[in-house]
Amino acid sequence: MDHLVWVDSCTVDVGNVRAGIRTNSVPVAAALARALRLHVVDDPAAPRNFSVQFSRVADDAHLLFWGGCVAARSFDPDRILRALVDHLGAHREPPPGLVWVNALAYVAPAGAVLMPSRFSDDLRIVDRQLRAGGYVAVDSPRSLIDLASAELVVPDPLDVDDSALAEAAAVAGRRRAEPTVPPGRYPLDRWVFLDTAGRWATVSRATATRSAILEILEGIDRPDRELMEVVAELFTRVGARSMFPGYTMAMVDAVLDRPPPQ
Amino acid sequence: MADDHEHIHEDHGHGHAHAHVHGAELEPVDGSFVPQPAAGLVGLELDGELLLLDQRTDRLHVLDALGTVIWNVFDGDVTVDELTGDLADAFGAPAETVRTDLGGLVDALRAADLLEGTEPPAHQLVGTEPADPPPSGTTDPSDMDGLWRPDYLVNPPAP
Repeated sequence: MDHLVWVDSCTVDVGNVRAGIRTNSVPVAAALARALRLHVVDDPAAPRNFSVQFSRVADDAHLLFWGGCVAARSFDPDRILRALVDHLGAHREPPPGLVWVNALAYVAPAGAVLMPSRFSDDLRIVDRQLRAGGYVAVDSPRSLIDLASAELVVPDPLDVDDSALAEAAAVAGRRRAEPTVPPGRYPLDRWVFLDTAGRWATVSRATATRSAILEILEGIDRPDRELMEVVAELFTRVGARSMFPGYTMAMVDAVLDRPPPQ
Repeated sequence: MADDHEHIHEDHGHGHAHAHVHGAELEPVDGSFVPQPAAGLVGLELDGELLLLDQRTDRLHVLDALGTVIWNVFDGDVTVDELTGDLADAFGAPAETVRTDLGGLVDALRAADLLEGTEPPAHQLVGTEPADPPPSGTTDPSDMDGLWRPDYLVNPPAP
């Protein structure tokens, strides 16, 4: 993607992370810098972690890259920019009692599902199929969890200038609005783990507890008995499944809790 | 990861069940070995399976139901040979098969640094034969991702 022509927008400092942002449009770069001005720092040498690519072709989706990975894919420029803000916000310290976990969240009326984040690219590509199945993506690279209440917490967004963000979005063509998950608490329904042996199965509570603890990124000092008990209790209310993406639509089936084809 | 039949599940799939602990070569145990849980482990039994936290390393391990049953009798007193007899009687399985599989489990737990062994009384060493290696296919280091599973333990024969 570095062969594309990029325009530096700004460098922001959020939590413990300093991130450079670039776009493929001069006016978008300027508007983004205004939108994020509360977090902008003077550090032009910071790596350009985030790249906003607004498509100029009607049939191509707009993209948000995080490094070389697709972090969001949409025909709605508002969603791409909100995803950028939410990605930056995911690097804030977790509020007391909550933990950041290495998982991607999807929300449906039945509750939230957590998916292995290593398949971000695959999941973002099937976004339309997932929405058709009733699951809306939380455009964040990690998920904020209240382990005690077994809830996904979608935090309030980073403080940005919404009018400047709208100016940036207005530069790009909009084919349709796409839903996002508003801030709030959503009961967890399932937590899906990768099984490198390829099994699609229910995961025992002990294995799920272990796997979930290993996915905690921030919010604990180190694992202890109390944490084990809290997470084990969570899995009395939350289903634990394993999956392996061995075929094209595996991610859709995993999110929708459908068995793989025989 | 999600295998109800697993005996031990380590966090990074790093283990060489019969190979190394902290870089040191491990010999398979013999029947006089007296397994004892290592110090610094915190256990939480969940639906018959044991979740073990090694506080020395912050690593988490899972023992499946049968592994948990066996783990719970590692009291620092009983030898592998004595346990072999107990389990062979309990499961109605040939002692040689049980001995091989139990040795494999003990080796795996040692490789994961979860077991210490105590010195057996000297007389127990006399005439003790080295343990046979586990059957082909059960000692592949990749199996340390929780996949060591002697079939007779998973599906014990009917009495």
